[in-house]
Amino acid sequence: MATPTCLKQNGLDVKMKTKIKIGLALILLSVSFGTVSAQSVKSLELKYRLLQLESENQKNALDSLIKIYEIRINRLNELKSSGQKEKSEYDKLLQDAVALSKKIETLEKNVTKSESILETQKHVLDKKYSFAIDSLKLLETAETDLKKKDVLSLEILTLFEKRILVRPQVYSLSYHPEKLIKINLAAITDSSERKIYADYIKSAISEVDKKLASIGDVSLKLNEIIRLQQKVEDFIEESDYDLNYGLYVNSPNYANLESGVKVNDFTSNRAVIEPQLHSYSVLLNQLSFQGQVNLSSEAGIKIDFQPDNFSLNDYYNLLDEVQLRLKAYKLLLAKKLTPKK
Amino acid sequence: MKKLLLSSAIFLLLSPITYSQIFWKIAADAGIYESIDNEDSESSPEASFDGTVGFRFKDSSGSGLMKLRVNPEILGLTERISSLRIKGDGNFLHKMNNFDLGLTISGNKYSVSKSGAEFNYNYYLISVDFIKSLSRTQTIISRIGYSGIDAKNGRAQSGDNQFISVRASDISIPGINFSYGIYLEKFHLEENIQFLVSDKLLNGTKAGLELSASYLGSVYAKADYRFLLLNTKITQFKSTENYLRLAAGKNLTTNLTAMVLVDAYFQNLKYKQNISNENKIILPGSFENRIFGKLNFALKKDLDFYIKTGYSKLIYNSTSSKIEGWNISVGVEITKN
Repeated sequence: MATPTCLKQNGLDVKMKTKIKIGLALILLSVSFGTVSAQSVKSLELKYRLLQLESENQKNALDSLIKIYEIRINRLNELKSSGQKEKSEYDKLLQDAVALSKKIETLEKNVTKSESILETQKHVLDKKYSFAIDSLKLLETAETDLKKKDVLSLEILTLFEKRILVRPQVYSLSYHPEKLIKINLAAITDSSERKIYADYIKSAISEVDKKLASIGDVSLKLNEIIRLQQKVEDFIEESDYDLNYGLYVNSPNYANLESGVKVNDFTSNRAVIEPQLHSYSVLLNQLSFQGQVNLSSEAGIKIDFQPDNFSLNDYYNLLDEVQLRLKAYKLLLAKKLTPKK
Repeated sequence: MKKLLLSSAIFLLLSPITYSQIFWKIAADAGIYESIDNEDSESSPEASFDGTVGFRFKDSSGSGLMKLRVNPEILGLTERISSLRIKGDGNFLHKMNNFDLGLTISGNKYSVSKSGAEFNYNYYLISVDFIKSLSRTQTIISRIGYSGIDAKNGRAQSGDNQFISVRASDISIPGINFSYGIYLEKFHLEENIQFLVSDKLLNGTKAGLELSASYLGSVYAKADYRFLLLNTKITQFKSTENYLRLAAGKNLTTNLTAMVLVDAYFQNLKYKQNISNENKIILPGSFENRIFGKLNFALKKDLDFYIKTGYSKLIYNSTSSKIEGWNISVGVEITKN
């Protein structure tokens, strides 16, 4: 049985450890938000938002120009096919189309440039948020006061959400799945060659793990957002009976018809989600091959990766599907490393 | 209601559906209701049931949703206040080359009984929307519609209106969906008691502005505001109606969500001459000012436990008869989406 002195000693140890942890976390926090960084997180966030707006505006301008360009081209084709070429109109349209094409080219370059700057900015913010989250987690673990723990937990959640907004998109798998699936370690007689292939498979598994963790994070947060939006809309609806004569209170919300808001309406994430949708489509395609085992799922998810037509629920289902396929793929790779008995 | 079901059925029969889903929700709660009547208040138990069943479908050219909701309530056993609400809705969206076409059909039946007195209210609405995307972030929604009412609360009122609104929606500010527009309405009301106007009819117009904003992120918040100028034979042009709705929610933990809803209605009628309360205009419908809060705890994916509380004040005729009170209740909700 422990003596009171021992208990006191253990208590002191725990307190000391807690203090050390808090101190460490504070140092980490100050390093992440303070002295090391010349710019504050807020100014970085502001810069990011401005860049986002600029990028959006450029994309809008580009869309409009493309539409006008298409109208000119269609008209030119009409004139050509009808054979009633009025030279003056035809020439003018042609000149317009050439000028527009140049403008589009310049604007496309600008859009690419803006997106690249935006990506860099996202990366910087992602690092800042990750560092702060790690530090706050340390503080949270060490904190014994439940109220303070809750406050820290909320702060972590807020930073977590911010991080999702700037997380770099999930890129496709760098190790080609179709080739990996065909590797048969048992058939390789040379031991050094077998080791090289085994390492290759291990690296691929590690990559899949990282992707699973990253997608899991996004999926979790997305689920919370979908649930929140659904709950509030349900709450409004259960209290609403359109009893105001002539006052149809709510603006028409056709997004509800398709079970949830469109990804495109979810504006705070739009700039992130669009490229991610594209990445996931590439990833799904990579995992949809007809290998030795058919990984394709029968979930029947929507593979129309246009944010205009994509609801947050669709996006959540898509993430689910990607996770399922990645897990199946991982299992397949892991089996290759296990010697057959 | 029959017309609504028939139109929806025809629409369904004519649509080549590629995706469909039936959804339903059942909620039951019980609690305490305290009515506030002439500075005298009395608490009594209350109970409510709320059931919704609906059908959502989609095809290559659009989508649709129909639902039916039934909500009986007992508010105060001693005062014998009970109500029954039945609501049927249909929303359809048809995508076309240059714009989308939306159709909304809604029918409401609401009856309240308080100490033997009855208040019955039927409301129906049909509207068509033309939705045009101007760019990735901007949309114009033009709405044209017709709605009608039939209310009995000691005296009978009925009426109808035609309305048109044009609204621009903008999502270019990250995180915020903002819309603004104009609203114009022509209405017609009649009552079966002596009204100030000799023919017992009241025709009028309303015109004004609409503003809405919503944010979806770590919190979900919505605000709707409508300001209308009212013009009739017996009121001055300065007469106004203001309507404000605020709704917000936040996930406090993974399973716990807190929500609040505020509805505020202000009517400022300036009459051309002095008239008695009896002859003042009370447009049939709800002048309910209310604030509701709800704490929702998700027990399972489709099963929720909740605590609801709220205050509401409903004036239901021109002599300022009212139902005013607050309540707190706990309940469970099962959802199948």
